[in-house]
Amino acid sequence: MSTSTIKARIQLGDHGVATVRTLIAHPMLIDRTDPKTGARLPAHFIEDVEITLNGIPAISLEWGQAVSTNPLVAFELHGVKRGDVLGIRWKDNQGKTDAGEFPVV
Amino acid sequence: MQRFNQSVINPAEFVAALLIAGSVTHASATDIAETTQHDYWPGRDKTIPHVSGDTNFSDTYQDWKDAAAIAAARAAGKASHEVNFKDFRWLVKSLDAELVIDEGREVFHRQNANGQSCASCHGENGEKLKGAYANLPKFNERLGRVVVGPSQIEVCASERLGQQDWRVDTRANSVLDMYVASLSDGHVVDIDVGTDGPLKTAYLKGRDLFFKRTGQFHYACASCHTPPTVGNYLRGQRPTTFFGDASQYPIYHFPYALPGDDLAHVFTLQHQIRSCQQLSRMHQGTEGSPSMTAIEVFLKASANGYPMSIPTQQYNLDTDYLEQ
Repeated sequence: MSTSTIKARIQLGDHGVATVRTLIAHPMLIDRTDPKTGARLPAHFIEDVEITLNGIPAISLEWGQAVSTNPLVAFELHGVKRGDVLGIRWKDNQGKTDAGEFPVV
Repeated sequence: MQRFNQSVINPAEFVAALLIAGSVTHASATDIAETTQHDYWPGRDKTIPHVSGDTNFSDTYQDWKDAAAIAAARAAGKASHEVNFKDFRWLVKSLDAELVIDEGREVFHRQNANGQSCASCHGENGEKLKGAYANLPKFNERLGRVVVGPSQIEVCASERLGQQDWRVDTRANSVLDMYVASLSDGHVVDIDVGTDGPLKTAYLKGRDLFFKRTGQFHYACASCHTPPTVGNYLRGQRPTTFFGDASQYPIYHFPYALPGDDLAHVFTLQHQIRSCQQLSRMHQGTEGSPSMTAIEVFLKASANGYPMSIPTQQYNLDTDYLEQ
C-alpha cells in the first residue's frame, strides 16, 4: 500500500511488536544559492511527521534541514495487532502535505 | 622460460630463444608473445552452470539453497559468515529501491515525439517482460551477439524509440534496467549454456576471465570469491562464492551514488564487476563490452536454479550477530 509519496512496510512480530519501515519521497532541500545565477533557492523540507495507530498519535517527528532526501524512517511499535491501521502524515515548510493509511496485515 | 625444458625444441622457438639470449636490442613482438603466460587461479574445472555448484567450493549450500534452508540455519544459530553471507540479501527487500523502480516505471511509459514508449511494445506495466530478466543475458540473433539487460535497452531504445540518450550507464538506462529486472522478481534464473552456441562460448570465456590473474595485484576474481577467502571479512566487505548472487542484480547500492547522479544508486552486475576491478587494481572493463558480457554470462549461469530477488537490500543492517 502506498500513497503518492509515502511507502510503508509493516512486519508484525511476536508480542504485538511491529517493525515498520516507511519511505517518504521528498526532495528535502536546504536553503542554498543557485551556483549559476546566484539566486537564493529556499529550503524545502518536511517539518512535521505524525504517525498514528488507529487514530491515536503514537510518534511525532520534528525535522529540520539536516534530514536527507527521501527520508526512510524505521521503528518498532508496541501494542499492534492484525487489523490495526497505521496512519502517516507529513507537512513541509512550504505548506504541502500528504497522508496515508496502512493496514497491518 | 619453461620451454627450454621441453625435450623437443622446434626451430622457431630455438631461434627466438637465441634472439633473447643473444641480444637485448633484438626483442621482437614474437618473443614477447611467446613468453606471455596466463596464470589462472585454481578451480576452473570445478565450476558448473548451476547454483548447486557451490558444493564444490564451500560446504554451506545446504544452508542457503532456499528460504526454508536459510530460516532453518538461522534457527540453528548460524551466523551470517557461517552461511557464506548468503542470508541477509534474501531476508529483506530494499525499500529505498522502490523509488528507483517507480522512476523506472515512469521512464518505461515515457512517450517520445511519436507517442511511442517501451509500453507500446512490451505492454502496460511491462506485462510482456515478466520473467524476461531471468533469461538475460541471451544471444540476440539480429545483433549477432550476446546482450545483457542495459545493452538490450540501449539498442531497443535508440533503434525503435529514437532515444539516443539511453546508453548504458545513463540514468534512464539504469532505472529502466532496475524496473525490468523487478518484473522478474521470484522467477528462477535459467541461462542455457549447455547447448553449443554463443552463450556457451561466452560462459566458458567468462569462466576463464573470472579465474585469470591480472592487474597490479595479480589477482583473479576467484582469488577473493573462492575459499579460503570467502566467509571472511576483506577491506570492510564480505566476499562470498559466485553462485546465486547474480540473481539479485541490479541492486540498489545504498549509499553510493553513481557519479554525477543524485538519487539513482543502481548497480548493474557490470557496475559491480567494475567496482571489484577497481578495488583489485585491475583495468576496468567497459560496460557492455564482449568480455564484460562474458563474465556476466558466467555469473548469471552460476545462479541457474536460483530465484531472482529484485529489489534486495544490499548490506546486512542487522547487527545482532555482533552481540553474540
